[in-house]
Amino acid sequence: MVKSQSGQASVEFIIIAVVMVTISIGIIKALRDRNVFPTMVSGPSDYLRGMVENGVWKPYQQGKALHPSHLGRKVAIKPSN
Amino acid sequence: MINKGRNILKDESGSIAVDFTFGLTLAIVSMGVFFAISLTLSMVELTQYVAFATSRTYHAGHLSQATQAARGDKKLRNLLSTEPFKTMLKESGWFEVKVEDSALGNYATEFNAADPRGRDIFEGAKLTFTADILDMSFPIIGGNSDGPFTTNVFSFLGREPSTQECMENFFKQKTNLIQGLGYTYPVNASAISVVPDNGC
Repeated sequence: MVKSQSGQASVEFIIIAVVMVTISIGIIKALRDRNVFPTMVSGPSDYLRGMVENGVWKPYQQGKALHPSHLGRKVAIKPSN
Repeated sequence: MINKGRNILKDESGSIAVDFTFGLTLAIVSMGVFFAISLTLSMVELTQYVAFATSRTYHAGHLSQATQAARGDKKLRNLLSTEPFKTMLKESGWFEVKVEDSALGNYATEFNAADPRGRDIFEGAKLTFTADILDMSFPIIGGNSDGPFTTNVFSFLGREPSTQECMENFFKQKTNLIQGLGYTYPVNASAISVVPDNGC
């Protein structure tokens, strides 16, 4: 009975499964704690919003200063001498 | 029922079905995400047109700035109540355009313009576009904590001076300056009326 190897594969499967599940839970917990996936979505959306609002590929708060309407090339209200 | 003549550890039958299941799931999820992103960008363009048309109506001169804004807002509500905007940008749908009391005005301070009253370069329409379709939550690994994708859509076309502004800021001041030159007129000065020539 001690030397019987039947069922050994099943035991090893269970051990491997426990290890894999433990590692998976650890990775998922780390990802959730660091907000990895929400950041993957919201990070580019800041740039997209910047492009929609300001026309430049920058986060929208940074891009406000780069909006084309800031450029002094519209009309000559104060013509130069 | 297990066939005792087969070694189940080496049996690979059915693996293609498992691969297909995983592959199909991944493909459907990817297609869903790309579809949502593509549709969102298209709807932003649609909203951009609405903002442009609103700003264009606001741009045209009228009796006063309030009247110009009222005309622009009327154009905006009219557009949003007709197809395809009515269906695509309705509330509680995939996409939504929110409008405050008035979508029109001068947004120079919002852009920290150095000379907000120097030119009307930030005068126009502002719409708030929300893509609820991108409010995705990821099971187990976390949701989108920032909520749905929201952005402002601007259209700055400027604004022609209104009749009221022309009269008060230009013609009346011009008249006062002329009257202040000290010349005598053949009629009483109070009988002089300002006739705008649309030149302001």
